[in-house]
Amino acid sequence: MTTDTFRNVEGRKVVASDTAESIGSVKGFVLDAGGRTIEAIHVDGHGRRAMILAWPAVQAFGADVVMANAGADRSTIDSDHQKAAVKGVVAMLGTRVLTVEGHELGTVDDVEFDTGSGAVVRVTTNHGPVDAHRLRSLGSYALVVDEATPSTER
Amino acid sequence: MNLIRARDVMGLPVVSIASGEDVAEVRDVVYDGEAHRLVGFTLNKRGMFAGRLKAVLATGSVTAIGPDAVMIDAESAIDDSGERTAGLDDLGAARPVIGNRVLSADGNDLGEVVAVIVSTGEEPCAVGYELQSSDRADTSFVPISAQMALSGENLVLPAAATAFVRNDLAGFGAAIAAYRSPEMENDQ
Repeated sequence: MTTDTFRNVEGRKVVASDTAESIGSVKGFVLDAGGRTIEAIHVDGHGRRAMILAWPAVQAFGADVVMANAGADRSTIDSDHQKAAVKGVVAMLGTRVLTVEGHELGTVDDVEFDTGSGAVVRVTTNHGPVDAHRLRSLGSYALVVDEATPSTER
Repeated sequence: MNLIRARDVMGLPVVSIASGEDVAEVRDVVYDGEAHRLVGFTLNKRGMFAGRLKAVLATGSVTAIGPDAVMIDAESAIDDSGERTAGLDDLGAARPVIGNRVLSADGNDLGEVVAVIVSTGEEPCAVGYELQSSDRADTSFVPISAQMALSGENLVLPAAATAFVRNDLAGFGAAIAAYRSPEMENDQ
């Protein structure tokens, strides 16, 4: 498994593999409601005019460039969920981390993800790392996580 | 056992575990002094000048209370059906406990109730009262027990509970855990 982090890939060029044309750069991510999987990459534009590339259209998330599948195209956002993500209302980086028992664990510094599957592997916070299996939901107020149990944290 | 003063829950955000959204904030704590029971919470909308929510949150619908938030499983935990639960509706009629004097079974005045102490974590409930002595020099914490008699003026602490009175909240957490352990319940 190859992993990379949100902060590290910010600004990475996104190129269409068939036309070799640049279709944007990594501006951010749209995650699923659980905060565990990348659904799409925000590649261009802002707000309602934002353009995203669905994760299945990613051929390879390379160390230098993100290659999009042949024929794949970026699309406009079409749901409130996507809108909240590209506007930064619901975003991993900088969001408050809250446990299911109501304890704040600081804020998210960075997110490590599997460049093959788009699955979140680990979230780093200013209180230490949180493994993906503890993630419960990502909303505008907080990333909700399960309490740490001694056996689950390395 | 981690404890918190009930009034410190006021103003905390109510957050859905399912969505990560802050769906409300705690306006007030509803406490039934007669039954020594934490009934639930009235709510405000989130935001600086947001008003009161009609919806209420019953204690049984709370997943956990923490120092930073009241957690619910999903937004559906908030009851906005308009049919208020009996306990929340009887709020005005509930016998207040703040201001009552607490007397020990052997006839000592332990002080006046200044706060309700609630356990945090899962299945939150009222576990004790914070008292202030008449000269305001000492605070102490006494466990709540079903045998506690309340008149609206005085509360009488059963003899069995006297051994669990503490002077600090952290120590009281441990005392409550011991007081509520199965062996103790059998003794009562």
